[in-house]
Amino acid sequence: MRKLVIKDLYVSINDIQILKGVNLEINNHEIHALMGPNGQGKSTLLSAIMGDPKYRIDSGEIWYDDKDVLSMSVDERSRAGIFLGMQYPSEIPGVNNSDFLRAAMNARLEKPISLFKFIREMEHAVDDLGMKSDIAHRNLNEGFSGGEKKRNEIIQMKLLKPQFAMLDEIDSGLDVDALKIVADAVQDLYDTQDLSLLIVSHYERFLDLTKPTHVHILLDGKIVESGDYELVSKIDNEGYEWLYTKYGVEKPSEKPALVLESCGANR
Amino acid sequence: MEKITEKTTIEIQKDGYYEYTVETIETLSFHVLKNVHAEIKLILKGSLELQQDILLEPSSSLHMLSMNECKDSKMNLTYHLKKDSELKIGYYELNENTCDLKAKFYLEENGASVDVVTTSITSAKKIYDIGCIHIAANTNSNMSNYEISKQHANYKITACGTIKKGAYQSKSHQTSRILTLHEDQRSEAIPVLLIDENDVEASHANSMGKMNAEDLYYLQSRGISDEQAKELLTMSYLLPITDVLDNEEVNAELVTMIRSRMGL
Repeated sequence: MRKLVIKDLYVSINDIQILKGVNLEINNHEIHALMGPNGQGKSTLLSAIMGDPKYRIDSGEIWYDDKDVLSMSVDERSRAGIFLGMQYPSEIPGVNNSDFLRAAMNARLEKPISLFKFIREMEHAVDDLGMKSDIAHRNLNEGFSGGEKKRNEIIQMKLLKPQFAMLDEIDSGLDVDALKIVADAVQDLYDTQDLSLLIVSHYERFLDLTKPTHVHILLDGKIVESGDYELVSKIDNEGYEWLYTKYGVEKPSEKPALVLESCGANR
Repeated sequence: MEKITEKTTIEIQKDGYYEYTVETIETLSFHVLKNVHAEIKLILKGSLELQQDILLEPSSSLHMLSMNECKDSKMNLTYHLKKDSELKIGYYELNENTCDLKAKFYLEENGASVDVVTTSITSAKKIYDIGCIHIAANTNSNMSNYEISKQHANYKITACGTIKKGAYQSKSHQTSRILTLHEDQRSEAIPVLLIDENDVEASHANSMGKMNAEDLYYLQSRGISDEQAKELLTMSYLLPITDVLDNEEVNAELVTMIRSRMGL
C-alpha cells in the first residue's frame, strides 16, 4: 500500500528555519488539507517533498511507498508518482507545451506514447479544464494568465496520473467558475484513480468542493492541530487568531506600508 | 539540388522553392526579380571565403535559410532591398567550427523589410557582425540572435540598427539571447542603435546566462531527467530557425533534425 510518511522534518531556506519538526502520514486514497496563516511553512513542506533545490533539509525523513524520498532526485520522485501543482509555475519561453508534456509522459513509459494517442489525451484534458485548444502549441506557461497557469498544472496532473498529488494554492487566481472546473477535475481524478491528495488552500470554497478526509494546521513550522472537515469550518468562522494564543506563538508583525513622502520628480 | 562551384549570379525569375549547395567559390549573387516570391535553402560546405550579394527588386520576397556546414568560413554578405520587398533570412550553424560572418542589410527604398534570425552552437571562435541600415522611410528590421556557448566558445555578436536621416517611421528591433553551458567560454553581445531621424521606433534586448535553476526544477518535477530538461531548454534556442521558410516539408525536416539531436 502506498503511504507517505514524514518524520520529524526540519527544513530551512537561506539559513532561516522554516519547518521545525513536521510529522505526517497520508494513506492511500485520502485527501489531506493543510491550512494555516501565511509564512508558517505550508509551501515549504510541499516543496521539500518534491525536492525543490532552494530548500535545505536539515534533518528528518520522508518515505513514500517504502522508498526513501530524500535520497531521490526530483525527476525520480515524479516518476515514483509524486506530483506538485505549483503556486507559481515557471514560464518557459521556447519550450512548447505539448513537447514538454510528451517528454514528461514518455519519461514514465517504457514505450513512447504514440502521437495520435497523445493528441487525443491532451485534447481531452484541455477540454475538461475549459481551456482553448491552442494551448498545446503555446510556449509553456508563457504569457498565461494566473488562472491559465493553474489550470495548466491540472492538465499536467491529468496526463501524468500521479498517485500522490500536492496542490499548492491551486485555487488562488481562479474565478468562481474556474474554481469549480478545477475542483471537479481534481475530484474526478480522485474518484476514478488510485490517488491521494495534499492540498494547501486558504479558501473554504475549494475545500468544500474537494471534501478533505483529514485537515491539519501548520503553525510556526509544526503541525499543531489535526482533525476532520470540522476544522475547516472552525477556521472559516474564527480565523487563525485563537491558534496564536493557544500555542503561544507570536503573531508575525505586519510590515508597515512604505510611505513615499515626497517624490523626487516633483522636487 | 543544384551544386554551385563557380562564380555566378543566379537570377530568380519565378516563384518557387530552390535548393543550392555551395562549395569552394568566392562570390555568389542572387537577384530576385520584381514581384517574384522565392524560398531558398542554401547549404554551405568545405572551407569558404565567400562574398555574397543579394538584390531584391521591388515587391519581391525572399525567404532564405542558410545552413553553414563549413569547416571554417569567412563570409561577407550584402543585401539590397528595394521598394516593398521583404526578406526573411535564417543562419543556422550547429557545427563546432570557426566562422566570421559579416552581413549588412540595406533597406534602400520605402516599405522594405527584413527579418534576420541567427542560431548557433559554438565551441570555437565565431564572430558575427550584423547590421540593418534604414535608408528609406517606412522600413522595418527585426534581428533575433540565439546562441549556445559551449566549452571553449569564443562568441561575439555585434548587432547594429542604423536609421539614417530621412528614414522616418522606420522600425528597428533586435534581441540577442545567449545561453552559456560552461564556465570556460567567452561570449559577448554588443547591441548598437544609431538613429538620425525622429518619429522612429527602435529597441534592443539582451540576455546572457546559465540555465535558470527554477526552470530546470519545474521540468524535473514532471519526471523529465536533468539531461533531457537541459536539452529541452536548449532546444528553445534552436527552434526559431524553423519559422524562416514556409516550405513545410523542409521545416518538418529541420524540426526532426533538432528534436533527434535533443533525444525527443
